[in-house]
Amino acid sequence: MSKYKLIKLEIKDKDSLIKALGDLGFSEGNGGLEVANGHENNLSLYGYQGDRRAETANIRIPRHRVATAANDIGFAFDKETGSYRAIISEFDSGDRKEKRAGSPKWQNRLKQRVSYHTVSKAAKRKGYRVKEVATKDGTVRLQLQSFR
Amino acid sequence: MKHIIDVVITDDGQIESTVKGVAGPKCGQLSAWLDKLGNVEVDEKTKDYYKKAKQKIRAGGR
Repeated sequence: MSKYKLIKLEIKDKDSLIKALGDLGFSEGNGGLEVANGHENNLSLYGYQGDRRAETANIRIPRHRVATAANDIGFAFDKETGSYRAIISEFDSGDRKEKRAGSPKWQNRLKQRVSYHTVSKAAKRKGYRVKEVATKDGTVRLQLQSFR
Repeated sequence: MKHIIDVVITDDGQIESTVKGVAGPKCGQLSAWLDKLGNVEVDEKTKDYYKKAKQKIRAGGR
C-alpha cells in the first residue's frame, strides 16, 4: 500500500445519478422518475399543495412518490460547475425518518450509490476489473484490479 | 503495471482509495484518474511510497 486518498464526490455523471436513484426505488417508468433531455433544467417542481415552485430541474421525483404531503425532489444541472445539485424542501430534508426520500440519511445513501456507480463506470473505462467486496459496516468496498 | 486500487465508499458517499502492489511515486499516477471524480480532501503517502519501485532479492545462495 503506498498512496491514500480521500475524495468528496461531485455528482457530474447523469447516468450514475439515475442508476443510484433506481437503487433507491426511483427508476424511470414505474418508479416515477422523470428525466429531461441533456442537461436542460426544464422540469417544473411542485409543492405538496400542487403549487408550482420557482425552481426547475433536470431530474424530478414527483411528490406523490416521495411521501404523503411531500414536495417534489429535483436535481438541477449547474452549467458553471458541471455538476448536479439536489433541490429538496426544508420540510422533506428535515425529516429524520431513515427511509423517507429527502431525509439526511437518504441523501447520504444516495451519495454512496452515486459514488459506487461513478467509480465503477470510470474504472471499467480505464480497463480495471471491478470486484465488489462484502462489508458489514455500511461501507461499500471495491477492488479495482489492473493486469496491465 | 499490475496493481490493485482498494476503494472504500463511506456511508456518506466519500471515496477512500489506496493503491496496492506498487511502490514509489508511480502509485500516485495510477490513481490520478480518481481525482477527477470530485475534490481531493486528503492525499497521503504511506511508508511504501518511499520504497524503491524495484528491489532485488537474493534468496538462498552463499
